[in-house]
Amino acid sequence: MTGIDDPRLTAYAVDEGDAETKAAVAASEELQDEVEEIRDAARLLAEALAAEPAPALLTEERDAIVTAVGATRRRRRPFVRWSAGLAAAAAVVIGVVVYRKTPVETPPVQQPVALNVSPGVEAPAPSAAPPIPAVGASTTGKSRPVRDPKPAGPVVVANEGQGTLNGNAADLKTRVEAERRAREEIVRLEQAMKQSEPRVPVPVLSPRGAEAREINIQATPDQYAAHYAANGGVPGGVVGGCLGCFGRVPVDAYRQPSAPPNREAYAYRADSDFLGVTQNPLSTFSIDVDTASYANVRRFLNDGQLPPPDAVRIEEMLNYFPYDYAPPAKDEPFAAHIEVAPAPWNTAHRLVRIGLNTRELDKRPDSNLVFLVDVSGSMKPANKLPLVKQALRLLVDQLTKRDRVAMVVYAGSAGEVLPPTRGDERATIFEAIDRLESGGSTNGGEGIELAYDLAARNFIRGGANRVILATDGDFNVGTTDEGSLVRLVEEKAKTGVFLSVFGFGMGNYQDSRLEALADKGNGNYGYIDTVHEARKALVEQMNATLVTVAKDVKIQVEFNPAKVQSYRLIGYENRLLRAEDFKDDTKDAGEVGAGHSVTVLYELIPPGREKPEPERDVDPLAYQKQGGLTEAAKGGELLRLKVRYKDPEGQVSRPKEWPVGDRETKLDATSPDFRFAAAVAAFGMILRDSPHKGDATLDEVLKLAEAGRGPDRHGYRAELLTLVHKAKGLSRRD
Amino acid sequence: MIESQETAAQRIADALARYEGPLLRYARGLLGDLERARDVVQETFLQLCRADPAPVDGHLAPWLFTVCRHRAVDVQRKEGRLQPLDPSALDEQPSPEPTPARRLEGEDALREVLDVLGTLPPSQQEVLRLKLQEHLSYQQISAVTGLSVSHVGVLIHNGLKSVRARCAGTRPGVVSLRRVR
Repeated sequence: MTGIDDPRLTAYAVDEGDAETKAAVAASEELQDEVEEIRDAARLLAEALAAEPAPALLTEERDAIVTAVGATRRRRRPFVRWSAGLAAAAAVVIGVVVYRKTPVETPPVQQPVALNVSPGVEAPAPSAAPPIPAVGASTTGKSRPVRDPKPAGPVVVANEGQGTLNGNAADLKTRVEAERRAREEIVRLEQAMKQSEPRVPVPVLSPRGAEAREINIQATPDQYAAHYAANGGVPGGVVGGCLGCFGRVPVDAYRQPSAPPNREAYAYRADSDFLGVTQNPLSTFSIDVDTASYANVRRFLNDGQLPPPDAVRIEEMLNYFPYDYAPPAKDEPFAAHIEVAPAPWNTAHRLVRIGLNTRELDKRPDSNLVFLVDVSGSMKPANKLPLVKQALRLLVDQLTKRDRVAMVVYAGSAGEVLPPTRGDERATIFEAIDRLESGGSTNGGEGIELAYDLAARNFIRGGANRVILATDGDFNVGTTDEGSLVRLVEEKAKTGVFLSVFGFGMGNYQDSRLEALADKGNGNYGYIDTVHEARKALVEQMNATLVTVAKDVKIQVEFNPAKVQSYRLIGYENRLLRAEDFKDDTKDAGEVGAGHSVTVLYELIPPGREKPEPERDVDPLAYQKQGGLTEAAKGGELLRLKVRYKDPEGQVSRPKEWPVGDRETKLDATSPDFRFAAAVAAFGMILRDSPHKGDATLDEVLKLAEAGRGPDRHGYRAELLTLVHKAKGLSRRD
Repeated sequence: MIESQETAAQRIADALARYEGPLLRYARGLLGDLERARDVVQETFLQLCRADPAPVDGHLAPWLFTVCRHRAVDVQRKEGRLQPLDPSALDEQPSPEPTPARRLEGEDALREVLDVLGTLPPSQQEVLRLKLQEHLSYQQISAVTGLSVSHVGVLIHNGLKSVRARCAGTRPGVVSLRRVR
């Protein structure tokens, strides 16, 4: 028992507890109080639920069922009539597709079911027993745990030997064709299911679920406890821990959160507030080129759900999109692209867009990659390990003989499944990828150590040395404590090996953990939910993902009080640094890859507008007086942008600086990129229900995004438009 | 062993009497409207009529909820996506029975706790209903939903935590719900 915030305690309170919890509760008054409170809540909810009206079937529906009892007993009317012999013969070759027709008028849900029937064996009884936890309890011995990830559809065998013989070659061909179509349909449906998996739990059995089924339903408390323990107990450390708090710059460096966190799944971050320039002249933060939040938001919206506000990280949404920034001048690592115009959601405010980008590589440096693949039981669903395999194949396709690939898997224990191999030895690499299978519990820590060791042993000086972690983040044995895992990765990052973390098919709990791993491991973090997304991260933006051109990149903006009364950084809430961290080379910050761009938005309030800076209630100083403005402040500059970065293998940071003026540009004279970024920010603020969203509406977002769509070669911006439409549909329903 | 028709009819009638309402409630929660829930539940019982009774025996509840869930998911797949519960659609489908909700009009706390339940993620709502409304065990819920037992535990834990946090102090003197840290 790790504390009072533990699912085992809840289980105990609702009479599902194990012996260990019982003992822990008996020994602690605090736990007893907690159990009582959980019980109170459960009782209240149970009472309310019991009082809910139970709906009823219509009379004719109930009659149809009662009639069906007799009907199915007396005769089973085949829908597809053909002779048993022919059916069996055909089935041997192709399997049979049977369409079920219900004996009553119901919506025509036609369920294609493929059955394999052996010749001479009578088809199984029309039992549609779904997977039930009946092993050991079964009286017939027929039932067995079902591991098939396909939902058990109703299976009706249309084969009573009483059909007319109407099979011929053409008929057979038609059926083959029908079967092919049905299979395609199943694949399509499964694809569709995958997308919605985390929100709408689907009958996809993870092996852990399957284990549960193998246990006799009348398991003794001890068996139950053992099962519970075998499943890694409860991820109390994950749920109860301070998600996203570890190893981070505190969110409230400038401001206390105004409300307590109310969602468990995502680390809470208040929107940055406006800060007065005289008291806070410097805005300092680490860059972030992660994009996971966008893919996650997209998943929610595609599932017909508005995302929880804390899942929306505006900077990650902004940085998901490629922008048309001109490449840096020769020998310059960065170029800065700055535009200033009225903020679309509050035209009295100015919106500053800072775009930083790095040069595309002419030639990708030799890469030393170690794939670290989570093959634990939880990775079984189609949007996890199978998608990881697809993604890795896409990446391997890009490699050449100058590259090296190794692969480590981890589950209950970790192991090397592919020794360092030349990138052009595809057959060997693909074979190793194909062999990956899920099973067992997850020990992330051990796998990470092994992967880093392999990467270090094959280190390519001047090359891209990187561990690529593919996981759902569900570490449940071994080094599960986030702090030590993060420390491990932080330590390993010093060897010069970078880390990419790709989250696959995740539930909510692991989001902040993976992000923290990537932050500390000098790496990047992406969320891959489709093959399309894998292609974006690993093929289209391969260099940006694999080749770091600058590390510990920090941005500091100094605002001119003569031009700016207060400012607000949009997004990057968890990336804020203290002003003194800017020049402190021991302070870790974000990495940028080749051809990456980073987009930052500030909202400014010009002097003399609303919101005068709140007075700090301090007596005037007896010995000092406040200094006035410098000469530079009178020069009309709006702000000064300063960037510090280190070379990928360097230890000392270098500065870059750009002064920025305001040319009073009108919104419709800005670049499409500016308007699109403004649209993304406004969309993010609406989804976060930010107090700063001003007049922003989804219609405005649509207009802006449409105006800023530009060439949109890969269709990313068009996709945002469809998401805004979806959000509109959903919010209307609220 | 061949079941006589009388036994079969009795078995189905018993199942209907016991589970018709609970299954409809559950399916409505999944699908968001009663009309489709009825189709799904009718399908479920028809499947029960056709099923071999032996493996079902002793596991009727998880069997029915599992089939019902599969049918509901089929409907969702067919129609694209899960549509969130639309309250107006519910209004158009009055229950044929007198609604206890009416009688509870004074019971603000019960209404509020249901409102809170309605704001939780669908997966939490589903398992909370299966646990506290249909009284299935964690094991059975795991079997029905395909989630691991520990995942079910986490969903119920988080769901109850939200309920506690948001219903704090709604029923002074009856329950004392403390705000969750």
